[in-house]
Amino acid sequence: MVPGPLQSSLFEEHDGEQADRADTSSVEEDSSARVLSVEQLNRQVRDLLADEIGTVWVEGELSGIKYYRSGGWSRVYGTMKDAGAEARIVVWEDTLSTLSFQLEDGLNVIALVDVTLYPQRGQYQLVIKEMKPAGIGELELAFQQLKEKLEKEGLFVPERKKPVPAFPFHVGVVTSRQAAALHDFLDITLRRNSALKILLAPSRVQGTEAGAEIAAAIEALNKVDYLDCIVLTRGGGSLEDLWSFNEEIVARAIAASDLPIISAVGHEVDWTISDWVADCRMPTPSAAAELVAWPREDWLIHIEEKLSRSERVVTQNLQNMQERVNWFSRAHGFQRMKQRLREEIQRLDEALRLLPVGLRHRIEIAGNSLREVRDRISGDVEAGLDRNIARLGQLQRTIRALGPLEVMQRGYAIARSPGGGPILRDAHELQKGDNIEVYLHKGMAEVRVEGTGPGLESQWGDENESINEEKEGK
Amino acid sequence: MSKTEAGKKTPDSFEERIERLEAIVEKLEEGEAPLDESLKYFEEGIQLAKACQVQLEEAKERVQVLLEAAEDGKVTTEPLEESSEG
Repeated sequence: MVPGPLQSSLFEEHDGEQADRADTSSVEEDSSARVLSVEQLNRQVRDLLADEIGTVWVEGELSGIKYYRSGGWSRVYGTMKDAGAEARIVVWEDTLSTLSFQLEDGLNVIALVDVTLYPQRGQYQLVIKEMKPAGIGELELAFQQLKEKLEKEGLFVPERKKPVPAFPFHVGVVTSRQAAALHDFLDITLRRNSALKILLAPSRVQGTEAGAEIAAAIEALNKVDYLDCIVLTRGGGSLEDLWSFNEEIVARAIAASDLPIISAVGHEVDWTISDWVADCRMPTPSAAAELVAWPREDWLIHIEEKLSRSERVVTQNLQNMQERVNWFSRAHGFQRMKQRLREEIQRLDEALRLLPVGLRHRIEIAGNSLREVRDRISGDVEAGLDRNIARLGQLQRTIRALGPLEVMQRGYAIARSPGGGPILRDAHELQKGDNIEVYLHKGMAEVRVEGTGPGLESQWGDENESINEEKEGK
Repeated sequence: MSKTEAGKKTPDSFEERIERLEAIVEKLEEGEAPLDESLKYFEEGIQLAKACQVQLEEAKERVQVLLEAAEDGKVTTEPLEESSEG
Protein backbone atom coordinates (compact mmCIF):
# COMPACT_ATOMS: atom_id res chain seq x y z
CA MET A 1 0.00 0.00 0.00
CA VAL A 2 1.68 3.04 -1.23
CA PRO A 3 0.00 6.25 -0.40
CA GLY A 4 -0.72 8.31 -3.45
CA PRO A 5 0.64 11.76 -3.92
CA LEU A 6 -2.63 13.37 -3.00
CA GLN A 7 -2.86 11.62 0.31
CA SER A 8 0.69 12.33 1.24
CA SER A 9 0.41 15.94 0.27
CA LEU A 10 -2.73 16.27 2.32
CA PHE A 11 -1.07 14.66 5.24
CA GLU A 12 1.87 16.89 4.93
CA GLU A 13 -0.27 19.95 5.20
CA HIS A 14 -1.28 18.86 8.62
CA ASP A 15 0.70 19.80 11.58
CA GLY A 16 1.10 18.54 15.11
CA GLU A 17 -2.07 16.56 15.64
CA GLN A 18 -1.65 14.45 12.59
CA ALA A 19 2.00 14.00 13.22
CA ASP A 20 1.26 12.59 16.66
CA ARG A 21 -0.73 9.73 15.22
CA ALA A 22 1.66 8.70 12.55
CA ASP A 23 5.08 9.77 11.71
CA THR A 24 4.33 10.80 8.17
CA SER A 25 7.93 11.36 7.25
CA SER A 26 8.69 7.68 7.80
CA VAL A 27 5.65 6.19 6.05
CA GLU A 28 7.36 5.72 2.77
CA GLU A 29 10.44 4.14 4.27
CA ASP A 30 8.90 1.65 6.68
CA SER A 31 5.76 0.23 5.18
CA SER A 32 5.16 -2.40 7.87
CA ALA A 33 4.99 0.21 10.59
CA ARG A 34 2.66 2.41 8.49
CA VAL A 35 -0.14 -0.06 7.86
CA LEU A 36 -3.33 1.39 9.24
CA SER A 37 -6.49 -0.40 10.15
CA VAL A 38 -9.51 0.59 8.10
CA GLU A 39 -10.98 2.08 11.17
CA GLN A 40 -7.90 4.17 11.77
CA LEU A 41 -7.92 5.29 8.20
CA ASN A 42 -11.55 6.26 8.29
CA ARG A 43 -11.01 8.22 11.45
CA GLN A 44 -8.12 10.01 9.86
CA VAL A 45 -10.19 10.83 6.83
CA ARG A 46 -13.01 12.03 9.05
CA ASP A 47 -10.71 14.29 10.97
CA LEU A 48 -9.17 15.45 7.77
CA LEU A 49 -12.55 16.40 6.37
CA ALA A 50 -13.47 18.18 9.58
CA ASP A 51 -10.27 20.12 9.64
CA GLU A 52 -9.94 20.83 5.97
CA ILE A 53 -13.51 21.62 5.01
CA GLY A 54 -15.32 21.78 8.32
CA THR A 55 -18.61 23.62 8.26
CA VAL A 56 -19.85 25.07 4.99
CA TRP A 57 -23.00 26.25 3.24
CA VAL A 58 -24.12 24.05 0.43
CA GLU A 59 -27.04 24.27 -1.96
CA GLY A 60 -28.82 21.39 -3.64
CA GLU A 61 -31.97 19.39 -4.14
CA LEU A 62 -33.15 16.90 -1.55
CA SER A 63 -33.84 13.37 -2.61
CA GLY A 64 -34.43 9.96 -1.06
CA ILE A 65 -35.61 11.69 2.12
CA LYS A 66 -36.58 9.30 4.88
CA TYR A 67 -37.79 10.22 8.32
CA TYR A 68 -36.92 7.80 11.11
CA ARG A 69 -38.56 7.91 14.48
CA SER A 70 -37.41 5.47 17.11
CA GLY A 71 -36.07 5.57 20.61
CA GLY A 72 -37.97 8.79 21.19
CA TRP A 73 -36.03 10.88 18.72
CA SER A 74 -36.23 11.58 15.05
CA ARG A 75 -33.68 11.92 12.33
CA VAL A 76 -33.69 12.14 8.59
CA TYR A 77 -31.47 10.44 6.03
CA GLY A 78 -31.28 11.24 2.38
CA THR A 79 -29.13 12.91 -0.22
CA MET A 80 -28.51 16.36 -1.53
CA LYS A 81 -27.77 16.55 -5.20
CA ASP A 82 -27.47 18.72 -8.23
CA ALA A 83 -27.11 17.90 -11.92
CA GLY A 84 -23.71 16.30 -11.58
CA ALA A 85 -23.22 15.01 -8.08
CA GLU A 86 -24.78 13.93 -4.85
CA ALA A 87 -23.87 13.59 -1.20
CA ARG A 88 -25.41 11.71 1.71
CA ILE A 89 -27.03 13.84 4.37
CA VAL A 90 -28.25 13.26 7.86
CA VAL A 91 -30.39 15.60 9.96
CA TRP A 92 -30.51 14.98 13.67
CA GLU A 93 -33.34 15.73 16.05
CA ASP A 94 -31.85 18.95 17.43
CA THR A 95 -31.78 20.47 13.95
CA LEU A 96 -35.08 18.96 12.85
CA SER A 97 -36.92 20.54 15.75
CA THR A 98 -35.84 24.00 14.61
CA LEU A 99 -37.25 23.59 11.09
CA SER A 100 -40.77 24.88 10.51
CA PHE A 101 -41.12 23.03 7.23
CA GLN A 102 -40.99 19.36 6.28
CA LEU A 103 -38.08 17.90 4.32
CA GLU A 104 -39.22 16.32 1.13
CA ASP A 105 -37.85 15.06 -2.15
CA GLY A 106 -37.36 17.66 -4.84
CA LEU A 107 -37.07 20.52 -2.40
CA ASN A 108 -34.22 22.93 -3.17
CA VAL A 109 -32.43 23.89 0.00
CA ILE A 110 -29.48 25.77 1.28
CA ALA A 111 -27.91 24.04 4.24
CA LEU A 112 -25.17 24.68 6.72
CA VAL A 113 -23.40 21.33 7.02
CA ASP A 114 -20.62 19.64 8.90
CA VAL A 115 -18.69 17.62 6.36
CA THR A 116 -17.83 14.32 7.95
CA LEU A 117 -17.45 10.60 7.44
CA TYR A 118 -19.43 7.78 8.86
CA PRO A 119 -16.54 5.52 9.82
CA GLN A 120 -18.47 2.25 10.00
CA ARG A 121 -19.29 2.51 6.30
CA GLY A 122 -16.52 4.69 5.15
CA GLN A 123 -19.13 6.94 3.70
CA TYR A 124 -18.75 10.63 3.43
CA GLN A 125 -21.80 12.56 4.62
CA LEU A 126 -23.15 15.97 5.44
CA VAL A 127 -24.57 16.54 8.89
CA ILE A 128 -27.15 19.30 8.52
CA LYS A 129 -26.93 22.04 11.13
CA GLU A 130 -29.26 24.56 9.57
CA MET A 131 -31.47 24.43 6.53
CA LYS A 132 -33.70 26.79 4.65
CA PRO A 133 -35.55 26.47 1.40
CA ALA A 134 -33.86 28.02 -1.62
CA GLY A 135 -35.84 30.51 -3.66
CA ILE A 136 -38.78 30.60 -1.23
CA GLY A 137 -39.22 31.77 2.33
CA GLU A 138 -39.08 29.15 5.02
CA LEU A 139 -42.48 30.17 6.44
CA GLU A 140 -43.98 30.31 3.01
CA LEU A 141 -42.85 26.79 2.41
CA ALA A 142 -44.13 25.59 5.77
CA PHE A 143 -47.47 27.25 4.97
CA GLN A 144 -47.72 25.48 1.63
CA GLN A 145 -46.75 22.17 3.11
CA LEU A 146 -49.25 22.31 5.97
CA LYS A 147 -51.97 23.55 3.65
CA GLU A 148 -51.34 20.65 1.30
CA LYS A 149 -51.31 18.17 4.14
CA LEU A 150 -54.56 19.38 5.69
CA GLU A 151 -56.19 19.64 2.31
CA LYS A 152 -55.32 15.98 1.69
CA GLU A 153 -56.97 15.14 4.98
CA GLY A 154 -60.10 16.84 3.73
CA LEU A 155 -60.13 19.59 6.34
CA PHE A 156 -61.04 22.29 3.84
CA VAL A 157 -63.94 20.62 2.05
CA PRO A 158 -67.21 22.56 1.99
CA GLU A 159 -69.11 19.65 3.53
CA ARG A 160 -67.12 20.11 6.73
CA LYS A 161 -68.13 23.75 7.09
CA LYS A 162 -70.74 24.41 9.73
CA PRO A 163 -73.20 27.16 8.93
CA VAL A 164 -72.63 30.38 10.82
CA PRO A 165 -75.88 31.27 12.60
CA ALA A 166 -77.78 34.14 11.03
CA PHE A 167 -78.74 35.61 14.39
CA PRO A 168 -76.00 35.03 16.95
CA PHE A 169 -76.71 36.48 20.40
CA HIS A 170 -73.58 35.20 22.17
CA VAL A 171 -70.29 35.36 20.35
CA GLY A 172 -66.96 34.03 21.63
CA VAL A 173 -63.87 35.92 20.52
CA VAL A 174 -60.30 34.65 20.53
CA THR A 175 -57.71 37.38 20.37
CA SER A 176 -55.41 39.37 22.61
CA ARG A 177 -56.82 41.88 25.11
CA GLN A 178 -54.49 44.46 23.65
CA ALA A 179 -55.19 43.69 20.01
CA ALA A 180 -56.26 46.58 17.84
CA ALA A 181 -58.50 44.04 16.17
CA LEU A 182 -60.41 43.55 19.42
CA HIS A 183 -61.03 47.25 19.71
CA ASP A 184 -62.37 47.46 16.16
CA PHE A 185 -64.43 44.36 16.60
CA LEU A 186 -66.07 45.54 19.81
CA ASP A 187 -66.59 49.01 18.45
CA ILE A 188 -68.60 47.71 15.53
CA THR A 189 -70.52 44.91 17.22
CA LEU A 190 -71.55 46.96 20.24
CA ARG A 191 -72.74 49.79 18.07
CA ARG A 192 -74.61 47.70 15.53
CA ASN A 193 -76.42 45.26 17.73
CA SER A 194 -77.16 46.12 21.33
CA ALA A 195 -78.66 42.68 21.94
CA LEU A 196 -75.32 40.99 21.25
CA LYS A 197 -73.04 39.69 24.02
CA ILE A 198 -69.34 39.05 23.59
CA LEU A 199 -67.24 36.56 25.53
CA LEU A 200 -63.52 37.14 25.07
CA ALA A 201 -61.13 34.23 25.52
CA PRO A 202 -57.83 36.10 25.75
CA SER A 203 -54.84 34.63 23.99
CA ARG A 204 -51.57 35.85 22.68
CA VAL A 205 -51.73 36.18 18.90
CA GLN A 206 -48.01 36.44 18.19
CA GLY A 207 -44.90 34.59 19.28
CA THR A 208 -44.00 31.01 19.98
CA GLU A 209 -46.58 30.45 22.72
CA ALA A 210 -49.44 31.95 20.75
CA GLY A 211 -50.42 28.88 18.73
CA ALA A 212 -51.00 26.72 21.79
CA GLU A 213 -52.85 29.55 23.53
CA ILE A 214 -55.17 30.12 20.61
CA ALA A 215 -55.92 26.41 20.45
CA ALA A 216 -56.62 26.32 24.19
CA ALA A 217 -58.93 29.35 23.93
CA ILE A 218 -60.94 27.69 21.16
CA GLU A 219 -61.22 24.57 23.28
CA ALA A 220 -62.32 26.57 26.34
CA LEU A 221 -65.00 28.47 24.42
CA ASN A 222 -66.38 25.17 23.19
CA LYS A 223 -67.12 24.22 26.77
CA VAL A 224 -69.34 27.27 27.23
CA ASP A 225 -72.83 26.03 26.49
CA TYR A 226 -74.56 29.24 25.44
CA LEU A 227 -72.32 30.49 22.64
CA ASP A 228 -73.56 30.66 19.05
CA CYS A 229 -70.20 30.96 17.31
CA ILE A 230 -66.53 31.88 17.71
CA VAL A 231 -64.57 34.64 16.00
CA LEU A 232 -60.83 34.14 15.68
CA THR A 233 -59.20 37.45 14.92
CA ARG A 234 -56.05 39.51 14.74
CA GLY A 235 -55.06 42.68 12.97
CA GLY A 236 -52.65 42.89 10.06
CA GLY A 237 -48.94 42.14 10.23
CA SER A 238 -46.09 40.36 8.51
CA LEU A 239 -46.17 36.67 7.72
CA GLU A 240 -44.12 36.15 10.88
CA ASP A 241 -46.60 38.19 12.93
CA LEU A 242 -49.53 36.14 11.69
CA TRP A 243 -47.63 32.89 11.96
CA SER A 244 -49.53 31.40 14.91
CA PHE A 245 -52.62 31.19 12.73
CA ASN A 246 -50.65 28.98 10.35
CA GLU A 247 -49.70 26.47 13.00
CA GLU A 248 -51.00 22.97 12.90
CA ILE A 249 -52.12 23.04 16.53
CA VAL A 250 -54.48 25.95 15.72
CA ALA A 251 -55.75 24.23 12.58
CA ARG A 252 -56.50 21.09 14.59
CA ALA A 253 -58.33 23.05 17.28
CA ILE A 254 -60.49 24.76 14.67
CA ALA A 255 -61.27 21.45 13.00
CA ALA A 256 -62.25 19.94 16.36
CA SER A 257 -64.53 22.83 17.35
CA ASP A 258 -68.23 22.08 17.68
CA LEU A 259 -69.07 25.77 17.42
CA PRO A 260 -68.84 27.39 14.01
CA ILE A 261 -65.63 29.42 13.71
CA ILE A 262 -65.15 32.63 11.77
CA SER A 263 -61.51 33.35 10.98
CA ALA A 264 -60.60 36.99 10.40
CA VAL A 265 -56.84 37.33 10.46
CA GLY A 266 -54.82 40.20 9.08
CA HIS A 267 -55.82 42.20 6.06
CA GLU A 268 -57.81 41.22 3.03
CA VAL A 269 -54.76 39.83 1.19
CA ASP A 270 -53.58 37.67 4.08
CA TRP A 271 -54.69 34.08 3.99
CA THR A 272 -53.78 31.88 6.91
CA ILE A 273 -54.29 28.18 7.48
CA SER A 274 -56.94 29.10 10.03
CA ASP A 275 -58.87 30.84 7.24
CA TRP A 276 -58.90 27.61 5.26
CA VAL A 277 -59.96 25.35 8.10
CA ALA A 278 -62.51 27.72 9.64
CA ASP A 279 -66.17 27.48 8.76
CA CYS A 280 -66.12 31.01 7.44
CA ARG A 281 -63.31 33.40 6.49
CA MET A 282 -63.74 37.14 6.73
CA PRO A 283 -61.11 39.43 5.20
CA THR A 284 -60.74 41.74 8.24
CA PRO A 285 -61.73 41.94 11.92
CA SER A 286 -64.22 44.68 11.01
CA ALA A 287 -65.84 42.51 8.38
CA ALA A 288 -66.21 39.71 10.93
CA ALA A 289 -67.82 42.17 13.32
CA GLU A 290 -70.30 43.21 10.68
CA LEU A 291 -71.10 39.60 9.96
CA VAL A 292 -71.93 38.61 13.53
CA ALA A 293 -73.54 41.91 14.51
CA TRP A 294 -76.67 41.52 12.45
CA PRO A 295 -78.70 44.72 12.35
CA ARG A 296 -80.99 44.46 15.33
CA GLU A 297 -82.96 47.60 14.48
CA ASP A 298 -83.87 46.24 11.06
CA TRP A 299 -85.25 43.12 12.61
CA LEU A 300 -87.29 45.02 15.13
CA ILE A 301 -88.85 46.84 12.20
CA HIS A 302 -89.29 43.56 10.36
CA ILE A 303 -91.18 42.07 13.29
CA GLU A 304 -93.36 45.14 13.63
CA GLU A 305 -94.11 44.86 9.95
CA LYS A 306 -95.10 41.20 10.25
CA LEU A 307 -97.27 42.06 13.18
CA SER A 308 -99.04 44.89 11.40
CA ARG A 309 -99.51 42.77 8.31
CA SER A 310 -101.24 40.05 10.26
CA GLU A 311 -103.30 42.66 12.05
CA ARG A 312 -104.30 44.11 8.72
CA VAL A 313 -105.43 40.70 7.49
CA VAL A 314 -107.42 39.92 10.61
CA THR A 315 -108.90 43.41 10.54
CA GLN A 316 -109.89 42.93 6.92
CA ASN A 317 -111.73 39.76 7.83
CA LEU A 318 -113.56 41.59 10.57
CA GLN A 319 -114.37 44.43 8.26
CA ASN A 320 -116.03 42.03 5.85
CA MET A 321 -118.14 40.76 8.67
CA GLN A 322 -118.86 44.25 9.81
CA GLU A 323 -120.13 45.23 6.39
CA ARG A 324 -122.74 42.58 6.70
CA VAL A 325 -123.56 43.83 10.14
CA ASN A 326 -123.93 47.30 8.69
CA TRP A 327 -126.65 46.60 6.19
CA PHE A 328 -128.37 44.55 8.80
CA SER A 329 -128.38 47.52 11.11
CA ARG A 330 -129.81 49.82 8.49
CA ALA A 331 -132.88 47.65 8.16
CA HIS A 332 -135.94 48.41 10.19
CA GLY A 333 -135.46 45.11 11.85
CA PHE A 334 -132.62 46.75 13.68
CA GLN A 335 -135.13 48.79 15.70
CA ARG A 336 -136.49 45.63 17.12
CA MET A 337 -133.06 44.65 18.25
CA LYS A 338 -132.65 47.60 20.52
CA GLN A 339 -133.63 45.70 23.57
CA ARG A 340 -131.52 42.77 22.60
CA LEU A 341 -128.56 45.00 21.97
CA ARG A 342 -128.72 46.31 25.51
CA GLU A 343 -128.55 42.79 26.80
CA GLU A 344 -125.65 42.05 24.54
CA ILE A 345 -123.82 45.07 25.77
CA GLN A 346 -124.03 43.66 29.25
CA ARG A 347 -122.63 40.42 27.96
CA LEU A 348 -119.87 42.33 26.25
CA ASP A 349 -118.90 44.02 29.50
CA GLU A 350 -118.62 40.66 31.07
CA ALA A 351 -116.74 39.18 28.18
CA LEU A 352 -114.19 41.97 28.15
CA ARG A 353 -112.87 40.71 31.43
CA LEU A 354 -112.35 37.28 29.97
CA LEU A 355 -110.45 38.31 26.86
CA PRO A 356 -107.11 36.71 25.97
CA VAL A 357 -104.18 38.53 27.48
CA GLY A 358 -102.70 39.17 24.05
CA LEU A 359 -105.61 41.41 23.12
CA ARG A 360 -106.31 43.05 26.42
CA HIS A 361 -103.97 45.97 26.01
CA ARG A 362 -105.66 46.86 22.75
CA ILE A 363 -108.97 47.01 24.55
CA GLU A 364 -107.59 49.35 27.10
CA ILE A 365 -106.68 51.72 24.32
CA ALA A 366 -110.03 51.25 22.71
CA GLY A 367 -111.81 51.32 26.04
CA ASN A 368 -112.80 54.96 26.06
CA SER A 369 -114.28 55.07 22.62
CA LEU A 370 -115.95 51.76 23.27
CA ARG A 371 -117.66 53.13 26.35
CA GLU A 372 -118.72 56.14 24.39
CA VAL A 373 -120.19 53.99 21.66
CA ARG A 374 -121.88 51.79 24.17
CA ASP A 375 -123.47 54.73 25.94
CA ARG A 376 -124.77 56.20 22.76
CA ILE A 377 -126.15 52.94 21.48
CA SER A 378 -127.88 52.10 24.68
CA GLY A 379 -129.12 55.68 24.92
CA ASP A 380 -131.00 56.87 21.93
CA VAL A 381 -131.18 54.33 19.15
CA GLU A 382 -134.46 55.76 17.87
CA ALA A 383 -132.92 59.14 17.11
CA GLY A 384 -132.39 58.23 13.50
CA LEU A 385 -130.91 55.85 11.07
CA ASP A 386 -128.19 58.24 10.02
CA ARG A 387 -126.90 58.61 13.50
CA ASN A 388 -126.96 54.89 13.93
CA ILE A 389 -124.86 54.45 10.89
CA ALA A 390 -122.35 57.00 12.18
CA ARG A 391 -122.16 55.24 15.50
CA LEU A 392 -121.73 51.93 13.88
CA GLY A 393 -118.87 53.35 11.91
CA GLN A 394 -117.25 54.18 15.19
CA LEU A 395 -118.15 50.81 16.57
CA GLN A 396 -116.59 49.22 13.55
CA ARG A 397 -113.31 50.96 14.19
CA THR A 398 -113.40 49.82 17.75
CA ILE A 399 -114.16 46.28 16.74
CA ARG A 400 -111.32 46.35 14.29
CA ALA A 401 -109.06 47.02 17.18
CA LEU A 402 -110.49 44.20 19.18
CA GLY A 403 -110.87 41.08 17.08
CA PRO A 404 -113.72 38.96 15.71
CA LEU A 405 -114.66 37.35 18.96
CA GLU A 406 -115.76 40.72 20.22
CA VAL A 407 -118.23 41.02 17.37
CA MET A 408 -119.65 37.69 18.35
CA GLN A 409 -119.75 38.67 21.96
CA ARG A 410 -122.22 41.29 20.92
CA GLY A 411 -124.63 38.64 19.69
CA TYR A 412 -123.67 38.09 16.09
CA ALA A 413 -123.22 34.60 14.85
CA ILE A 414 -121.23 32.93 12.14
CA ALA A 415 -122.95 30.30 10.03
CA ARG A 416 -120.86 27.72 8.35
CA SER A 417 -120.99 24.35 6.67
CA PRO A 418 -120.74 21.34 8.95
CA GLY A 419 -117.38 20.07 10.11
CA GLY A 420 -115.72 23.45 10.13
CA GLY A 421 -116.45 24.10 6.47
CA PRO A 422 -116.53 27.48 4.74
CA ILE A 423 -118.38 30.43 6.22
CA LEU A 424 -121.81 30.88 4.67
CA ARG A 425 -122.56 34.21 3.10
CA ASP A 426 -125.48 33.53 0.79
CA ALA A 427 -128.75 31.74 1.51
CA HIS A 428 -128.84 30.60 -2.10
CA GLU A 429 -126.13 28.15 -1.25
CA LEU A 430 -128.57 26.42 1.08
CA GLN A 431 -131.46 24.13 0.58
CA LYS A 432 -134.16 22.87 2.86
CA GLY A 433 -132.82 20.06 4.99
CA ASP A 434 -129.17 21.21 4.85
CA ASN A 435 -127.33 21.05 8.10
CA ILE A 436 -125.30 24.05 9.06
CA GLU A 437 -123.34 25.11 12.11
CA VAL A 438 -124.02 28.39 13.82
CA TYR A 439 -121.17 29.67 15.97
CA LEU A 440 -122.19 31.92 18.80
CA HIS A 441 -119.91 33.74 21.15
CA LYS A 442 -119.99 30.73 23.38
CA GLY A 443 -120.57 27.37 21.83
CA MET A 444 -122.22 26.42 18.61
CA ALA A 445 -125.53 25.02 17.47
CA GLU A 446 -126.20 22.49 14.77
CA VAL A 447 -129.08 23.80 12.72
CA ARG A 448 -131.24 22.37 9.99
CA VAL A 449 -132.51 24.68 7.28
CA GLU A 450 -136.29 24.65 7.04
CA GLY A 451 -136.40 27.12 4.27
CA THR A 452 -134.59 30.04 2.68
CA GLY A 453 -135.72 33.36 1.36
CA PRO A 454 -134.67 36.90 0.67
CA GLY A 455 -132.69 38.56 3.41
CA LEU A 456 -132.62 41.95 4.95
CA GLU A 457 -130.82 43.39 1.98
CA SER A 458 -133.96 43.11 -0.17
CA GLN A 459 -136.62 43.48 2.49
CA TRP A 460 -135.69 46.92 3.52
CA GLY A 461 -138.95 47.71 5.28
CA ASP A 462 -140.16 44.25 6.13
CA GLU A 463 -140.29 43.41 9.76
CA ASN A 464 -140.90 39.74 9.15
CA GLU A 465 -138.15 37.26 9.80
CA SER A 466 -136.01 36.92 6.73
CA ILE A 467 -134.50 33.59 7.21
CA ASN A 468 -136.38 30.94 9.05
CA GLU A 469 -134.34 28.57 10.99
CA GLU A 470 -135.23 26.15 13.64
CA LYS A 471 -132.62 25.36 16.15
CA GLU A 472 -132.26 21.74 16.91
CA GLY A 473 -129.40 21.78 19.30
CA LYS A 474 -130.91 24.13 21.80
CA MET B 1 -96.22 25.10 2.80
CA SER B 2 -95.27 22.19 4.99
CA LYS B 3 -93.31 24.56 7.19
CA THR B 4 -96.54 26.30 8.04
CA GLU B 5 -98.32 23.15 9.05
CA ALA B 6 -95.44 21.69 10.98
CA GLY B 7 -95.28 24.08 13.84
CA LYS B 8 -97.03 22.83 16.92
CA LYS B 9 -93.89 22.67 19.01
CA THR B 10 -92.73 25.94 20.43
CA PRO B 11 -89.74 27.38 18.61
CA ASP B 12 -87.12 28.80 20.93
CA SER B 13 -84.40 30.26 18.78
CA PHE B 14 -84.83 33.70 17.31
CA GLU B 15 -84.46 32.31 13.83
CA GLU B 16 -87.14 29.68 14.38
CA ARG B 17 -89.50 32.25 15.84
CA ILE B 18 -89.01 34.58 12.91
CA GLU B 19 -89.57 31.73 10.49
CA ARG B 20 -92.74 30.70 12.27
CA LEU B 21 -93.95 34.28 12.41
CA GLU B 22 -93.39 34.67 8.70
CA ALA B 23 -95.21 31.41 8.01
CA ILE B 24 -98.13 32.63 10.10
CA VAL B 25 -98.37 35.92 8.25
CA GLU B 26 -98.23 34.03 4.99
CA LYS B 27 -100.98 31.72 6.19
CA LEU B 28 -103.14 34.64 7.27
CA GLU B 29 -102.61 36.38 3.98
CA GLU B 30 -103.64 33.31 2.04
CA GLY B 31 -106.98 33.92 3.69
CA GLU B 32 -108.08 30.32 3.52
CA ALA B 33 -108.00 29.51 7.19
CA PRO B 34 -111.35 29.51 8.97
CA LEU B 35 -111.97 32.51 11.14
CA ASP B 36 -111.31 30.90 14.51
CA GLU B 37 -108.16 29.27 13.16
CA SER B 38 -106.84 32.50 11.77
CA LEU B 39 -107.54 34.09 15.12
CA LYS B 40 -105.43 31.42 16.75
CA TYR B 41 -102.68 32.12 14.24
CA PHE B 42 -103.01 35.79 14.97
CA GLU B 43 -102.59 35.26 18.69
CA GLU B 44 -99.64 32.96 18.16
CA GLY B 45 -98.13 35.57 15.88
CA ILE B 46 -98.48 38.24 18.53
CA GLN B 47 -96.83 35.98 21.09
CA LEU B 48 -93.97 35.13 18.73
CA ALA B 49 -93.42 38.76 17.90
CA LYS B 50 -93.35 39.60 21.59
CA ALA B 51 -90.87 36.82 22.32
CA CYS B 52 -88.65 38.10 19.50
CA GLN B 53 -88.89 41.62 20.83
CA VAL B 54 -87.85 40.37 24.27
CA GLN B 55 -84.85 38.65 22.69
CA LEU B 56 -83.96 41.87 20.96
CA GLU B 57 -83.95 43.84 24.18
CA GLU B 58 -80.67 45.52 24.89
CA ALA B 59 -78.25 43.27 26.72
CA LYS B 60 -76.36 44.32 29.82
CA GLU B 61 -72.70 43.70 30.66
CA ARG B 62 -72.13 42.99 27.05
CA VAL B 63 -68.44 42.16 27.03
CA GLN B 64 -67.11 39.52 29.39
CA VAL B 65 -63.72 37.88 29.61
CA LEU B 66 -63.58 34.12 29.97
CA LEU B 67 -61.46 33.20 32.97
CA GLU B 68 -62.28 29.56 33.21
CA ALA B 69 -64.54 27.05 31.48
CA ALA B 70 -65.05 23.82 33.36
CA GLU B 71 -65.82 20.50 31.68
CA ASP B 72 -69.44 20.71 32.82
CA GLY B 73 -69.91 24.01 31.02
CA LYS B 74 -69.67 26.17 34.13
CA VAL B 75 -68.05 29.43 33.23
CA THR B 76 -66.16 32.02 35.24
CA THR B 77 -66.04 35.45 33.68
CA GLU B 78 -65.25 39.04 34.51
CA PRO B 79 -66.24 42.24 32.74
CA LEU B 80 -63.67 43.51 30.25
CA GLU B 81 -61.85 46.52 31.56
CA GLU B 82 -62.09 49.25 29.02
CA SER B 83 -58.63 50.01 27.82
CA SER B 84 -57.75 53.66 27.90
CA GLU B 85 -56.09 53.52 24.51
CA GLY B 86 -59.38 54.53 22.94
